[in-house]
Amino acid sequence: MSVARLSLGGVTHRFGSIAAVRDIDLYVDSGEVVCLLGPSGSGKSTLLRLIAGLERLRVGRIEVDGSEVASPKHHEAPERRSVGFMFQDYALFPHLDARANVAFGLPREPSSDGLVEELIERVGMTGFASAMPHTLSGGQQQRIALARALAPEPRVMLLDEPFSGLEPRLREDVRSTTLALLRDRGVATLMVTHDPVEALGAADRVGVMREGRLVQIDTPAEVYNRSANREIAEGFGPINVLVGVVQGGFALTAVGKVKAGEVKEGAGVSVLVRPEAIEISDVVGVAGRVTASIQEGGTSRLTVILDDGTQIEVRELSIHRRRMGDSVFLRLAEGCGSLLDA
Amino acid sequence: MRGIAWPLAGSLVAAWVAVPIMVVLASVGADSDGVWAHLASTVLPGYIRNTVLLALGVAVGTFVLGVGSAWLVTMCRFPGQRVLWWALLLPLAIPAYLSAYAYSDLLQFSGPVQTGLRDAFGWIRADYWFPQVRSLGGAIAILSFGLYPYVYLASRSAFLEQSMCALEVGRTLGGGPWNGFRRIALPLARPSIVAGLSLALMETLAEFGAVDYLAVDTFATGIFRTWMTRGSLTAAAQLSACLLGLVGILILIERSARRRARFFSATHRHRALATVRLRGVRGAVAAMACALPVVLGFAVPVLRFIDLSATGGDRRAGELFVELARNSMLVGLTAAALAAALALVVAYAGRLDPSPASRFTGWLAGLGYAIPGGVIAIGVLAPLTWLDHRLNDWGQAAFDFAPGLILSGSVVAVLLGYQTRFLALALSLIEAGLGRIRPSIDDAARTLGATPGRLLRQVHVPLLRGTTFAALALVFVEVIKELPATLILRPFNFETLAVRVYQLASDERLAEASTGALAIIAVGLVPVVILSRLQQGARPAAADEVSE
Repeated sequence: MSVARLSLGGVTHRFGSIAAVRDIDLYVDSGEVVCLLGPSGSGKSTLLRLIAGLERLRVGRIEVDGSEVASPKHHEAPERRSVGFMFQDYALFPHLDARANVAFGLPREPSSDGLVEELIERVGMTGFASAMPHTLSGGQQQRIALARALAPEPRVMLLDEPFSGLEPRLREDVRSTTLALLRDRGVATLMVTHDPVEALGAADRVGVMREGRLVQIDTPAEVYNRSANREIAEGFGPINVLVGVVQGGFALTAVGKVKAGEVKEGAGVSVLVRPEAIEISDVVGVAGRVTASIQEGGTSRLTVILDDGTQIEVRELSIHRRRMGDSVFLRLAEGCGSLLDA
Repeated sequence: MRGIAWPLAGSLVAAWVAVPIMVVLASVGADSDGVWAHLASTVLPGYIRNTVLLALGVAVGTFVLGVGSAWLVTMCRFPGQRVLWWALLLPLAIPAYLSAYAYSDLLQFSGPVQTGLRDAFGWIRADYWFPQVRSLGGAIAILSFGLYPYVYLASRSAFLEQSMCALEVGRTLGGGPWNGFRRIALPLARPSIVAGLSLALMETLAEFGAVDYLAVDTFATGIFRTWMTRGSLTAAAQLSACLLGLVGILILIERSARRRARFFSATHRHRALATVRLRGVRGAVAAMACALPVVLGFAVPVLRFIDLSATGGDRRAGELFVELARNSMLVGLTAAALAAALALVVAYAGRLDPSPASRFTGWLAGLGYAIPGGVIAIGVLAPLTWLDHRLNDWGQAAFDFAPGLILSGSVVAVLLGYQTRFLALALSLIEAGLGRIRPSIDDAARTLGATPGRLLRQVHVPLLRGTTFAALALVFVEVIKELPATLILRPFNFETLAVRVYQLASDERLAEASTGALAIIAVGLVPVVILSRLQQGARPAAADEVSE
């Protein structure tokens, strides 16, 4: 078992009496992209600053490649950690041209020149090497900032919402280019965002932060389909909360059953079910009636009322063209839905 | 070790320049043989009243003159605007005591203005009322017209850095241009304006020459008189402590105003301010409004001195001039370079380690600016003399050789006095300049492998080039104009232009003093011109081309 590129153990940080980060355990492997998702004030940025050494760690331990860079007794200066940082505002040095910005983190020797040109080419900015930052667009500044952060070949890269300043279509493009480059170079990447779509789409693993705590960390599919609690689940999109009763090891709900694990017989439980986890058909399942239909491009979101009065949101492909008043039958797809801790 | 080097250096600088103040303060608890009790029951209420009223008056005066003219020349185009852009800085070249000499001379009963009025209308003494220059009102007017450039400079650069976008958003939300100024531009510029105002007010509290000549009794004159005529250093120090209290309050207000308002350019889209063209009557009114401070704060006193020197200048000026100017330039440049470097250390240490301790360091380092030069001089002399004696004792014992007064009787004493007095000037500008550099720039450099030293050399110093130059120029001007500390601390036979003028004016030989006065103004003009050039260059490109 090899050592993780970046690992954090029991990291806690306070500003005055406010705990911004509480007891975080986390690792990021080489070439992996981990996304920290949370609202502003949830401690994501503070965590990045602690890892970079821009804030001094008071409680816990941070290691890069198995060697300690921060603990209450030891503070490796940021310039010696081999941790790159990309900022929301790009933070290009306004008095240096693009080339000099990229070269800032490299030793001043002739061999660096070639590397600088190569990086500028890799981020698609050939021809802009002599441009001053204020003459570049947001996307161009972002690319130069990426080339600059990559130049010293950091082992860990921290991204603090670096794409949020870009317009949506450009954002997608720049993000995939950036992350591909980082994965390609085996950099352990920890990215912070408050956009769930970005987190799910970009990361190998998503960590959900609330009030300084890391409340869940798993693959995008897991955090989306088996969210640890209702609040997290709602953060990723619409969710049904169904009531159920445990019988024979399963929680029985209005539309189907979910494995109940260790929960004892006869207990009442809540079950989280995504709209798309419910199959709609004209024949099989529990009967209901469509009361609302919203088009969302390729899919449509239906509100269905079952005969027992339960209201359920369902998502299916738009090609079925169901309308209000249509009769439908619902059935929970095999293996979907998750039990909420009572 | 690396972590504490900068904060340590900052604290050392602050402690070093604060020593003279501490020496003065240390004598507060001492017994003044009843002098303090006597002062408190007689003149103290008057000192307090005059000092506070003077400060309030100058605050209002410099705010109106400085912010108003800065707004007009940055936002509007009108006849003469390009000239006024830099001409509004001119009063910086004239020390307040020279203005006081000139206006007292011009407006006194036997002066040209009153004589002319009497001749023109056939009045005699009792026929008319004429404003008394030697009064609180006169002092407020003269200091306001002399000190507004601090506020002008600070608010002008703040207005220039504002993006049009913020103002346009204000317009789309339904505010007129006046609303845009009052609710957006002014609050955004507040940190800079407060910095400029506090510089002007510190100058006011420390002003000795002008208020002394205009017979307005403030703490500054009281301290001087208590020490000179009553010979009580203790009572003078106790008065200084009162003044120090006022200054401390002022600095705390300034720092809290700036701490609560740290604005970074929130948008990446910086569109230069579009200027509004004013034509006809409105243009003429704007031009006159901006010309008034230049005429009253600069042209009138200068013309008076030119007139005086033409009729009866200093006959010895020619032979002395080269030497005096060289002395002034030498101490001015050395002190300015030293102040800029030390201010950079203190400000940068504060940025690296933004703790209460470093805020205290900054506060300590800036304390001397509002303290009258004479008081600082005493604070410098006492410890240096003590040190000289110890050195001589040691030299005598070890080598049978006494080096003499190598510290207290040399330029070292003068330079230390200047640092204590003027470091705040450089510090205030450089701190404000550093505050405009986004913190993420520092973070980016650090994570790219830059040590704090390299961050300073390769990022902050280049970005602060304009600010540092401004700091150099302002300290230089102040040193050239400085009077009381130079008088007391100068080595024997070491004369500067200011010392020469003071000696002549004290003897009511104003005509002879006029030559030296003009020389001081001329020397003071050089950095003002450079400063205005530099600021012109700092103006965002294309701002001049837009018009409506």
